Amino acid sequence: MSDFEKLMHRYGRIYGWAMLLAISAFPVMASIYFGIWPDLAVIWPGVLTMWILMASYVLSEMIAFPPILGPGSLYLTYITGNLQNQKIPCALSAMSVAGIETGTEKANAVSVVAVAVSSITTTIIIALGILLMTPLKPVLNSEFLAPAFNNVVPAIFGALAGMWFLKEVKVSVASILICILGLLVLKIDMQWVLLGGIVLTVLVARGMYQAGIIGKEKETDKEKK
Amino acid sequence: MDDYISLVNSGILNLFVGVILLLVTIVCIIFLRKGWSQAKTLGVTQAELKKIVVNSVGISLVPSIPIVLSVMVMVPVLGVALPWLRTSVIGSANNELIAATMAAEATGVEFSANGMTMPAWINAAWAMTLGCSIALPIVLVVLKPVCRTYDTFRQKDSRWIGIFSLCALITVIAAFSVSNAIKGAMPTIVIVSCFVFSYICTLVAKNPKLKWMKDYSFPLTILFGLVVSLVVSPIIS
Repeated sequence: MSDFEKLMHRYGRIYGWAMLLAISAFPVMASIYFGIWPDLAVIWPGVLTMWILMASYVLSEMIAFPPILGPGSLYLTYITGNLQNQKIPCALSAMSVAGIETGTEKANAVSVVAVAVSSITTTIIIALGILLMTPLKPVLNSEFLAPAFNNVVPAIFGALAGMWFLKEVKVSVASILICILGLLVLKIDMQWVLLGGIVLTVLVARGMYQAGIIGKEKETDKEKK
Repeated sequence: MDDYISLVNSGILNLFVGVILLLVTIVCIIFLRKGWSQAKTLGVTQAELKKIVVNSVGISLVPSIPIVLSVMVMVPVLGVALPWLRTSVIGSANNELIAATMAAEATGVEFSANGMTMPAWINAAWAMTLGCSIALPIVLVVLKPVCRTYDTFRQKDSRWIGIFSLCALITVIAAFSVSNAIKGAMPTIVIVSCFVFSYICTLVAKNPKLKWMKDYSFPLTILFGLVVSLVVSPIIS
């Protein structure tokens, strides 16, 4: 583990716990202020449902993202949220702009920059949205723009697919087929398809790697350099 | 009802949220400075870093709009402070809405501007915080051992771990693309058109005169996808 990664783990844990405490202080403060406390018997089934729903996602994300993004940007991502629609695309685009491969030390560093900038931008936009809520409401709720706002996530993943699928076409085709099988044919929940998909894609890629079908090109590139 | 709305919009709640978000922003700036200096040490140029900043701002703008829309949906029911905090940190707007709705309904009131009461709001605030913040403590405990495990593999075969991370990335993109595509014709058209447009951008950027396309291809592709959805949607419907 590099010195930077060690530093990111230390900062991530210290600031992560501190921020969790600060964020969790809001309902405590509100309960003290209003003199009303939650009825835990009423809310626990909902809380448990959310834990089960989210824990399975985090499990698959903890397999998928550390080798791509590195620790610094991941700590920051989980403090500020919006992983799939903002932070992952920003980090991947940053790597592409700087011509860096995923999983390298450089990738870890630029991911931190991209995720931090994205988090600050989103905080500002939401604050502005609240301040300008009245004048913005008719524009943002217009029927004309609704299809665009409903298709932001497909546009992001279409763009990411164009950037990354062609780097290892054979592996990408295998991965797409596995995901189609899981989601469309077997109708398995997304978080399990993600987890199982990664395992199966890695197994397929491992077979290709050992057979010399993939991974060769980069070696030749290195020899040229 | 007026009492409820004025209570949940009280200045002290908004001030408290403002302070929390200021702290989060300071943490982001600390990480940004560390990442920036590390990237420069590793040979990433100032110009590339500036491009990364512009790109990240551009990419974050469009996905922020649906988040602002979610806040607008929640504000008449929950006031400003709670949705502002929950959508700015940790949570995703959808999960927050689910947790708040479940808590309100479990309290016996309707999750609407007219139905909410102060006990229901307190229950919603606690349910959103307890229910939707679970990912962060898991990550704080698990991430370091996971990274250490990956490091062990990296030391054994660094080239393979590069392919492994690419496999993970490709699967993430494939899974989210397929899960969005199966929702209907419109998202499928957007995904496919963005894929093609992004590929064309990559080809165009190989021309030395149009090298700048590489830097802006991602935000441009997202904008292209949104324009496609605006044009195609009336035809499909």
